[in-house]
Order: sequence, then C-alpha cells, then structure tokens
Amino acid sequence: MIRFVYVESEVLDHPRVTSILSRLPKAEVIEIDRFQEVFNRRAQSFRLQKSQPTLILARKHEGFVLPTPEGYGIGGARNFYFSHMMNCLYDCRYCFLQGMYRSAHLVVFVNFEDYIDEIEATAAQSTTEPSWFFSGYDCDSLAFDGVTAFADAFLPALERIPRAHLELRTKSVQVGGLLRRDPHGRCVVAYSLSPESTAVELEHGAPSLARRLEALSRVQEHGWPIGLRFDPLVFTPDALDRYRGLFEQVADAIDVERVHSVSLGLFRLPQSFYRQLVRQYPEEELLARPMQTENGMTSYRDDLANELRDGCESQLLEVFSKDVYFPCLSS
Amino acid sequence: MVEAGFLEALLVVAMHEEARPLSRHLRLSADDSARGFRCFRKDGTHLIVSGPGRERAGLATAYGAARLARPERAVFLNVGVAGSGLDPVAYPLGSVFLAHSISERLSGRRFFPSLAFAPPVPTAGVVTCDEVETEYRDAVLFEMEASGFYSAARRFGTAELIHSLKVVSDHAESPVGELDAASITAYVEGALSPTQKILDELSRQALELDDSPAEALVSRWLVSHRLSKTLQRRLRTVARRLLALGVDDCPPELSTEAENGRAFVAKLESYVDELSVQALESRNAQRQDAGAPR
Repeated sequence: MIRFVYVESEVLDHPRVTSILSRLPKAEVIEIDRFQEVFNRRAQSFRLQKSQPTLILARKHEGFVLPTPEGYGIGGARNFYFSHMMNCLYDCRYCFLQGMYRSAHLVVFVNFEDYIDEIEATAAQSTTEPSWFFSGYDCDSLAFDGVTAFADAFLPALERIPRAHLELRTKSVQVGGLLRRDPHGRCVVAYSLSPESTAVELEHGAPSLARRLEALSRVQEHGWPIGLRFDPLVFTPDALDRYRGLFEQVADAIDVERVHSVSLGLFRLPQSFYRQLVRQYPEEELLARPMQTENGMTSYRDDLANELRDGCESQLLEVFSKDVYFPCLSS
Repeated sequence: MVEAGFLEALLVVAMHEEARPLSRHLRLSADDSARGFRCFRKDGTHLIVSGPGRERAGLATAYGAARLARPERAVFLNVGVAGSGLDPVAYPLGSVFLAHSISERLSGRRFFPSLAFAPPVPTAGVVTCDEVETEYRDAVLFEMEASGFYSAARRFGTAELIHSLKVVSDHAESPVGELDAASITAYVEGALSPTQKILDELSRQALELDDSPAEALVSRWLVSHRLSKTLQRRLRTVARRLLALGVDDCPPELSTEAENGRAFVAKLESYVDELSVQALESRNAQRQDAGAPR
C-alpha cells in the first residue's frame, strides 16, 4: 500500500499526476522540488524502504532513451532501453536494483510524451533497420500499470512509429489492459520466469509461477507476441532438475511454436552492486554461494556457471527452437 | 563489542519540561558521565536535553550520537512542542504529528525524513525558526530545533531511523504567550503513547539492520591476524556468507595453519565456497527424503 506520494512542484498539475493520485485516494501527498531530495539520499536503507515504499512523481529532463549494454537484445541490431520508472513493486532478492540504488521508493516520470518523442527520433535514425526499445530494465513494465497507465500511453504511440519494436518485460499478471486492446505485432510481452521453488524463495511479492503462466497463456491466445526470459538462472545443486521442470511447465501452458523469443542469462551483477546486496541482506543464502568477479562483474564460480548455463541451454533447446533463442550475454 | 540485538535510541528534546515525562515513562536515570548537556539513560536508551534553538539541538544530537556504540543502527527521535498554523478545529492543542518535511526558515534548507513505516499519527511539514513564531500563517508546524537535530543525526544514523515528533502547544487562537511550563509537560505526556509506538517500530527496523554477529566474528578473527583494509573488507563479506549458511565460526585450524592474514582470508573463502554447495546439497537430500515437492 502506498501511504505517501511525493510530487515535484513542476508536475503537480500534470494530468497524469492527477490521474495517478485519483487512483491512490488514501495516500498523503507531499510536495517537493526535485525527486533527488527524497530519492537515493546518503545513508538511506534500501532494505527498510522496501518494507514500505513511497511513490515519487517527477519529470525526467534528459536521457529518455539509452543504448542497451552490449549483448543485450533479442535479434535486433539497434537496441535501446528506457525507464519511465525506477524500482519495482516486487522484492526479488537477486535484483540488481537493490545494489544500484540506496532507495527503494518507486519513482515514476510522468512526462511519457517526452519518452515517446525520443523513441520516435531514435527509430527515425535508421530508415532500414528496426529499433528495439526495452522498457523493463529499471522496473517491471506492467506491475504498476494499474496506477500509471503506462501501456495505454505507449502502445498507441508505437503503432505510429515505423520500425519501432517494444519489449514489455514483466512478472505481473495485470494483463487486463493488454487483453482489452488489439495485439500489436511489434510489441513483445516478455515474462521473467523462474522455477516455482526458486520463485518462492527469492521473488518476494511477485505472482506465483502458475499465475504468471496463466497470464502468459491468455496474452498469447489474445494474439500478442510473447517472450520468455529465464534470467537470472539461479544456482542450486538441483538446478538442472528445477529448470527442466520449468521448461516442461511452460511448454504445457503455451503454444511453443508461437513464442517470439526465449532468452537465458546467469545471475550476475556489477561487483559494487553485489557488495551492496550482501551489506543489505547479509543473511541471504543466495549471496553466500561461490562467486567470482571478472572485469568488475560478479557471478557464479566458473565451474558452477558453465554447468548451469550449458545444462539449461541444452534442456531449453529440447523444447524451444534455436531460431527464437537469444542467450543473454550482456554485462 | 556490541552484542547482537542490542538496540540504541537517542531522544533529543529542547527543554526539561519536555524531558520529564519521557524520562519517567522510559524509566531513565540521570547520566552523570555526560558533560555539557543534561542526559538521562537506561541501557541503550539515551535522552538529551539540548536547550532551545537549532544550533544547540545539532550540538546535542552530535554529542549524543558520539556516545552511542553503533549510531548507524540507532534510532534518533526528536520530541517537542510546536506552534501550529493548521486548522485549530481539526487539529487542536495536544495534536501529535510526525514531520514529513523539515524546513529551515533562515537558510531555506529542507529535509524529508524517510517514512518507511505506517506512522500512528498524521504527518505535517515542520518549519524550524530562529525566533518564536507568533503569526502562524502557513499550514505547518513551527518550532526551533528539528532542522539542527535532523542534519546532525543524518551524519551518524540511517535515514529511516531518524524522525521528529511534534505536539501542538499553541496556535493563533491560543498563542505561545499563554503557554506555561506545566502545559508543555502535559502536552508531551499526552504524546507518550505515539512516541512509544514509534520507538517500537523504529527499533524493530533497527533490528533488521543488525549486522553485529558478522562484526563480532570479524573482530574475533582480527585478534589473530593483521589485515589491510581491503582484506578486512573481504573478511567481512566472508563472515556474512558463513553466517548466512547457519555456521557460527570457522574451524580453528583454518586460522592457526594459515601462514599469514592473506592466506587466512583465502582459506576461509574456499571453505565457505565448499560449505555453501554442501549446505544446498544436504538440504536437497533432506527434501527428497521427506518427499517434499522440488
């Protein structure tokens, strides 16, 4: 439950702020000048804030669309990400956001139109190549859609921007908005999936695997291209059994022939983020497993990483076509 | 060395009239070891009387924080009376508020206490003035210490554990000139229940941040090994990993057989790596034996 909403003075009268606040009638509104007065201040505790996150409504001034890290993509040559929101409703213990920010507050940048303008300008930079825009990088694309109406703003815009492709990355089962709308061939609805036991242990507050698969199936039946993101792969000694079970469950729930893309990536974090996570959650067993750091990135020790990645990959390719498989190589 | 679960709180008030009911309620005794400020204490709970004004409040907070064993995990709470520009009918004398913003009138500096819990009282903006406010123009609370307290506490503590609680003692229809010492004490007395609730909630949060078991382990290991800051950081990480696996200490031979500190840290890391895989394997085996779903 959101009890407090901080609103930048500059956007206090913005129609999207009015609309968001109308959906949170019990929340107390506190006016601020800039969101940085509240967000990511020194000595804040991500962990404590996560137990009662507040919402911050702000205007983004620059950097609406950014290139993705190398190796991040699902087949396109031009890949970008944008974050209309920072942080997430869910509390997944492996999430890099815990290491990236000192704040767990949810920040929504309400000037969606500026993002759309920059997406349009970025897509127009190439008259031949499609451009991919990933929205679920610093947040879950749909988890807060009931409040922000993000999809209602971006999906119609996508239709009028040639060669622009959008990925909505989510764990949310709030798909009513997608089901009320005609599907769009250039928008992939991609679900992050983990084996049920891993989800229970680590994905606090996120819908169960069964509910995610049910939502995924309905979205696919409605005609939306769907993506499957097995990222991060989490090591346990029985991980290969867990992931085999997961791939089978997914194959039972959806039409695998009509899957747009599948990707897979190891649990990995910049070393500074990893250290921050250990400081925040010292008791978390996930972080106590054998790790190594190479080129500033911390991930599982090589032997465990190779076994996990290679094993999952070969199991995955028994179920899904290689044509739709995109290993996540990004750092 | 601080024991696990040891909680500390520093309460800062401006006047003896505000201190008295708090001290009684929390069963504090005069702390004769303190200098410069009147202090009260019981176990980890400290109360300091700053005197009026933001500068004194800042100094007292810094002094009090320096006397804590682990200020980064301590609760900091400023309690005091305030004038109110809010609607006196909706919020009469004695109404209690938690500050959601603290503005310093002279400098324009503004702080936003991090509200990571459901407060038992409404929140309000607080304006710290250098002179007693008598006009009550804006819909905020007026007082003289919060900004000094807050800016000092932020240097030592964790933002979510630092708050300011204010009780309405005067407003346009009952101005500050009519306020006497007994009334101030009575207003703070009336705020004891929310004060206690806030202390309880913040203490619960402080416990969540308690990293003292790992610190205790590191301190023990450092008795036998001299390590650089970098190695100490690795040692701290490995201590947290070990405890996360449910193990209290490493086998003594790891320490005694290591030729130097660096070798000790490396041995410890390998030990925890193996232990973490073994722990998972044995847990899985138990699950299979029990026929639990995997």
